[in-house]
Amino acid sequence: MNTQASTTPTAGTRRRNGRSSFTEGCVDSIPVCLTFMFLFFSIGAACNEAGFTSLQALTMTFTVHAAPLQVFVAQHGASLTVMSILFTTLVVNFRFLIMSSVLTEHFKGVPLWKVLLSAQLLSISTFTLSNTKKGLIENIYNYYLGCGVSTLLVAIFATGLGFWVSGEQNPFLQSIIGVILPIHFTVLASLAWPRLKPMIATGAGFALTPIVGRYLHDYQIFVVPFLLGGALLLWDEMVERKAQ
Amino acid sequence: MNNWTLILVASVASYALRAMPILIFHKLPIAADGLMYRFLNYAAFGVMGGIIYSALLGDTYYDHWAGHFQSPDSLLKLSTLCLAVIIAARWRGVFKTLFICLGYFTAMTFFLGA
Repeated sequence: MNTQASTTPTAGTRRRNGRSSFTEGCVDSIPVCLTFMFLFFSIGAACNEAGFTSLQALTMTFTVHAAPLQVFVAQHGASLTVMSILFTTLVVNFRFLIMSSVLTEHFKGVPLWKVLLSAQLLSISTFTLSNTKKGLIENIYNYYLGCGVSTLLVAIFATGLGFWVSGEQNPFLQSIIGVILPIHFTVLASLAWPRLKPMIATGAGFALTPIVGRYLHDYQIFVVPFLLGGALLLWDEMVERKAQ
Repeated sequence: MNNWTLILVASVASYALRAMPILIFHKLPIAADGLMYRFLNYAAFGVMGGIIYSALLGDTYYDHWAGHFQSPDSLLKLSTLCLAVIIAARWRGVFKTLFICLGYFTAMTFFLGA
């Protein structure tokens, strides 16, 4: 297994390895890029419908780079407060904390400023690819950059395309584009199988939204996750106590 | 709050979550079975479910729950999600599942005129 610590390549070799790792990251992320084409296309369309300008839609993809949060912002728009965005960001993007911690371990030896600068490229997809390839790639940091740069560029391009096309599409096409995002997120949530609780939490979040939404409207976004998180945690505790 | 402020707050918060562990948790192990981690993890899946619902059906059926099972359009969307769950859980391919489900939804929309 070749790692940065176990080899002492020359500067030229390091540069070549760096390049090939970067390219390999770009190539491996092609399926993700294709998925992002659909996903961010629908986000671009959603931003257009929600009254965002094209510059705002592109800026949001570049700076937020987290599809669920972008959809939330587009869906709720002006009714949001600073606290509500901060809470939702913490809840929706909490995995970034864990993923970033894991990758920090992989990137030991890379200057801190470089890691901080490239933190924006972190997504579920770039993390999954980089984490899977750890130990199989000469320079895992450059591999991560390859994945991140290619997927982010595609995301920005697709957002612009979705924003531009959404105004001219027919109802049939609009209907199809409208289901891309929910299907994609459903697939991501379903990958948790056979772990039951994440599936239950997603299904319950889905089912409770119209029920709680009827009475609490936009506030349901805070109530439902708290209820589910608390209920499943209680379930954990009860199971542990029974086991004891 | 205007759109630019929304984007700024969401951007700063998202970047902070990405960058904080690099600065703070660099050498500290994270307890994956801790209460806070588990709570937020479950809550995140709950939010995901809510986002899926809102993106699929909006707030059309908030006051008419039975409508979920009466409208052909709603039934088709719900059946597409069920198909996505089954295929993704069984065969685990994101892209493959996306294409199969989109194909199913497109074909059914075309033939049923839903």
